[in-house]
Amino acid sequence: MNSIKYFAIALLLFSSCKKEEVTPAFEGEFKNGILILNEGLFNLNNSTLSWLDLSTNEVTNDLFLSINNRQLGDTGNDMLLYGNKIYIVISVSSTVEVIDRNTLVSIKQIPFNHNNQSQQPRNLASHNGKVFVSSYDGYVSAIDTSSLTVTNRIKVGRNPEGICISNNSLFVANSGGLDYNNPDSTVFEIDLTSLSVVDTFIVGPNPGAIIADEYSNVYVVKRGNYGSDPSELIRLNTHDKVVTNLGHVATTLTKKGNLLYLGHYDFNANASNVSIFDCSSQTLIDHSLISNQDITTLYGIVPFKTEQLICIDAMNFTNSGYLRFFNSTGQLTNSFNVGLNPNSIIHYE
Amino acid sequence: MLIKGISNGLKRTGFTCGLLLFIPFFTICQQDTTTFEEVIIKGNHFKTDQHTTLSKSEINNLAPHDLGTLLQYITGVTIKNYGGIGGMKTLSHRGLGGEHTQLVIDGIPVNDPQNGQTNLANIQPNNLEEVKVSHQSESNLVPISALIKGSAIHLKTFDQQFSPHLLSIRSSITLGSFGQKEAFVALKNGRKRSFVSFTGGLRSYDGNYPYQLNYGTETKELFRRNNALNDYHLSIGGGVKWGENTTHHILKFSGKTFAIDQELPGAVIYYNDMAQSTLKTQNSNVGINYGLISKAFSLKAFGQYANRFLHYHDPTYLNADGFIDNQYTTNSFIGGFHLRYILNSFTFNLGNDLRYDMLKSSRDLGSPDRFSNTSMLKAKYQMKYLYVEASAFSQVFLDENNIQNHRKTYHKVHPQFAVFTSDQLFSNLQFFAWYKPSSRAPSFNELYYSQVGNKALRPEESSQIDLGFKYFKTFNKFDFQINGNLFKNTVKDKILALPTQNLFVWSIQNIGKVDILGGDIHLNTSYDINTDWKVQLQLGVSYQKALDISDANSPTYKHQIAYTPALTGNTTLNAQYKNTGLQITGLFVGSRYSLNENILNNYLDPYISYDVSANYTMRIKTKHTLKVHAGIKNVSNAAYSFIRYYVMPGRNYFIKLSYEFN
Repeated sequence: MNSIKYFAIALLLFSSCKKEEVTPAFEGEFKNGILILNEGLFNLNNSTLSWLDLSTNEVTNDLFLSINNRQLGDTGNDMLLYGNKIYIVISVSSTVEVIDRNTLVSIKQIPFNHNNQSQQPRNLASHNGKVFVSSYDGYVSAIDTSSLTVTNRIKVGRNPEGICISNNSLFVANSGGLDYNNPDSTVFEIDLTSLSVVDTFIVGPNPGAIIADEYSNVYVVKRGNYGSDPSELIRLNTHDKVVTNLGHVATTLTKKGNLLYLGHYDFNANASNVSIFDCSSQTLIDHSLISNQDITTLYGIVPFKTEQLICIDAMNFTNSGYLRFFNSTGQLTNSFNVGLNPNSIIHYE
Repeated sequence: MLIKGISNGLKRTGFTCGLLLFIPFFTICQQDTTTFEEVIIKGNHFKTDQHTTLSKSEINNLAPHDLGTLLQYITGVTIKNYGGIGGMKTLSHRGLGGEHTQLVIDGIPVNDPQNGQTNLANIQPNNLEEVKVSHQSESNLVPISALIKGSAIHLKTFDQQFSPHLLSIRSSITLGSFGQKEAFVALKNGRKRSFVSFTGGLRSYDGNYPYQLNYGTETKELFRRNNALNDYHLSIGGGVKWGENTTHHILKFSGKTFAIDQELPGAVIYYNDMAQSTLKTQNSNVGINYGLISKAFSLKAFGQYANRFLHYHDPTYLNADGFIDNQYTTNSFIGGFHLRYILNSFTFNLGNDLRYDMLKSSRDLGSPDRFSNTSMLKAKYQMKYLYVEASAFSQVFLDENNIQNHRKTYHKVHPQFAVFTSDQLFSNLQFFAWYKPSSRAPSFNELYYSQVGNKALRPEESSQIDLGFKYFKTFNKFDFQINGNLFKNTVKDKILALPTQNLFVWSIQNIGKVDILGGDIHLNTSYDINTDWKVQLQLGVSYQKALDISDANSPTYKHQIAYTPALTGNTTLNAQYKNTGLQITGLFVGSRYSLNENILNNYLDPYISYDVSANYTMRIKTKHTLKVHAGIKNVSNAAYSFIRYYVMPGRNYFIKLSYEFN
C-alpha cells in the first residue's frame, strides 16, 4: 500500500514540474491596439480573443476567458463591431456572444438553437439598428441591437455564409457547402424593409465571402470545387442584375475605400497571394503585393492605417497563427504570434 | 501482471530443464493446447519470447469494460480513449500508432481495413483467458502479420481451447453504474480428442454518467447524454486433434458475430449538448486454424472470412437532406501459414500471410480493394551463450479502386535482427537486443474518404531498436521479476490528417516524421506469506520522448506529438486471504498536448485514477465455483479525459456474480 502511495507521489512530482506559467490577465484600457478573434479548431472548444497592444507590441491571449471567467466556445467564425458592442458568432457552440466594446464583458449570449437543433451561425452584417446573422440551417436572423433578441428569421438557400448590405438590400451567399458534391450556387437578395427574399442570382458553385462597393456592385467569391473549378471573384451588379466572372482568383475579400483586397491561398502550390482591385476603375491594380516567403497560409487581409496591410497567417491550421504587418511596398515589417486560426480583427484607435 | 519467462512455467511444473528437448506429448495432454507448439530448448531457462501477459485471474481482477480498458495495464501501451463506455479506444505502443500493432484472436489476425485501427472498445473481455502483448520473437507459431508489426496483442478465449471435461461452464452477471447490465454464458463440451463450445453475451449501458466541465473559474457537474449502448455477441467453436507418437495435428473452427447499437455523444461542446448521432456495428467471421507438430517440423495454417458493417446516422446534419446516413461494408479474406524446421542448433521459419480486403459503401468512395501479402524467412542459431536471429520480411500492398487511377504496387523488404543471451552466460538474467522495421498501409478511409482522402498516400514506415533485460529471482516464498527496455523508434512518412484550404477541407498526407526515444521498466513481485495469505504487486513505468521532426522550420519541430504522454504508469496490488481477494489498481497518464504545438492552450493535465475491488470465491465440491466481485472505479472521482473534451466518468460502482463449472 505504501509503495503505491510513493509511486503516485513520485509520478505527481515528475509531472507537476512540467506545467508552464499561466498568462496574466490583461490590465489596462482597450485602445491603440487590435482585438483578434481566434477561430480555434473544431471540437476543441478553443476559440479565443487576443489583444495586440500597439504601443508595447505585446500580445495578451485568452482575453474572453480572463475577463468573463468562461470560455467563448467552439469555432468563432466572425466578429463585428456595431455601435458600442461587439458581436461574435460561435459556430459549433451555436451562439452569438455580445460583448461590450470597451471592457469586453459579455452582455448577452444568444443561443442559436431551433427545435433543439443547433443552427450553426456563420457570418455577420449590420444595418439600421439590426445585426444580421447567417446560419447553416438555411436562415438569416435579425437581432435587434437594443433588446438583443432575434426579431426575424428569413429563409434563404442552403448553408448561407457571407452576408453584406448594399443600399437597402441584404445579399446572402448560399454555399451549400455541406453537400460536397452538390453545393448551392446562388446569392439571394433580401429587401431590408419587407425582410423578404426579392431576387436570386446564380454566381457559381459554393459561394462564400461577399462584399459591396459604392457603385452598386456586390462581389462574391465562388469557391468552386477546390480543384479544377478555381476559387474566383464574381461581380454582381445590383442595378442591371448582371453577374460577371472577373477571372481573378480569390478566397478572402476585404475593402477599404475603393480598393478591394483579394487574398488567395493555393493549397496545391502552397502559395499565398494578395492582389488589389480598384472598384472605381474595375481593374486589378496590383497582382502580387506580398512575397510568398513571408507567409505560410493566408487566411485574411485587413488594410491597416493609411498604407499598411495586416495579413492573417493560419500556419498549418493546427499551429497558433500570426498577424503579419506589411508596408505599402509589400515588405514584411512585423509578425505577432496570436491564437489558433485568427480570422477577424477589430482595430482600436 | 506477469512477465512470463519459461522460468515461471518450469518453476510451477517442477521440471528440470535439462530433460526437455521437445515434448509435445506432455503439453498436448494439458488443458491449454495453444502452448503445445512451444519449443523448449535444452539446457536453457530463458525462452527468447518478448512479451507481457495478463492471466485469466488478472483479467478478472481488473473487471474491465472492454479490451481497451484492460490493455492500459500493459506497460508501454497508451490507450487513446474517446470517452467512457462506447467511446472509441485505440492503442499506441511505444509512441507508434495503433496501425503498427496487430491484434490476433485465437491465432487469427484481425484487422479493420476501413479505419486502420481496431476499436478496442468493441471487444468484450468476458471469455478471455489470456492477453499477451508481444514485441518480438515468439516461440509459438503465430501469423506472419503479427511478427512484421511493431507489436502484437494475442487473445486467447475460452471458446477455442480443448478441455478434458465433458462440460465446462463460464457465466456471469454484472450490474454497475450508468445502467450497466451484462450477462454472459459460455458452454463447452470437451472430449479426449475434440471439443465444441458456445458463447453468448449481452451488454447494455445507459451511459448517462456525470462529469465535471470547467467553464473557467466555475466548474459544473453535467451528465453525458446520447451515450447509450447495447450489444450482443455469439460465438461457436469446435476442434479435433489426432496423431500418434511424436506427430500431432490440431484443427479448430470458429464462428463469431457481434452487433453493437450505440449513440455517439461526440466531444463535449460548450453551450451545445444536442448530439443525436448513432452508430451500428456488426461484425461476423468464420475461421479455421490448423496445427501440426512433429519432432523437427511444425506448421500452422489458418484462414478466415470476416464481414464488417457500419451504419452511421446523424439526423441533425444541415445538408440538403437534413441528415447523414452512411453505410459501409468491408469483406476480408485472410489465409496464411507458418512453418518451422529445427536442425541441430538451427531453427528455420518460413511463412506467408495473404489478405484481401474490399469496401463497399453508400458514399462515393468507389469500391476499393487491396491485396496485402507478407512473407517471412527466418533463421535462428543457438550458441552456448547467445541466440542470434535474423529474418527478412517482404511486404506487398496492391490497391485498386474502380473510380480512380492508382499508385503503383508497394513492395518493401524489411530485415529484422535479434540477439538474446542464454542463461549459460548469466543465470536469472537475460539481455537482448532487437531491430524491427515495418510498413503499414494507409486505411481505406485515409485513401478515399471524400474531400479528405488522398489516393497518393504511401504506406507509413516505422522502425524499432530495443535493448532490454529480464531478471528473476525466487527467495523462498518471495518471487521477484523485473524487465526493462530502452527503445529508439522512428516513423517515416507518417500519415497525418490536416486542414488545408480552410477548416472544412481536410487532407491526409504523408508528411510526418517522428523520433521516439524511451524506456520502460516493469516489476512484478509476489509473496506467499503463509498458507492463507498471498500478496502480489506489480508496477510499470514507461517514458517516451516522441518528437515531431518533420520540418525543421515548423513551429512544432522537436515538440512532443499530440496525445502522446511522455510518462505513463500502472500498478496493481493484489492481496489474497483464503477465499477473499482485494485489488487496488492505479493508472497514471502524464501530461500531453491536444495538438502537436506544445503550448499552454494545448496542454492537458496528467491524471491518476484508482480502482478498488474485492471478491469472495466459494468452491462447491471442487468443480463448482461461485464468485462475487464488487468494486469502485475511479475511487477519487478524478475528472479527466485522455482526449480533450471526451470526458471520462467519475466514481462508479459494479458488482459481478459469476459461476464456473470445471
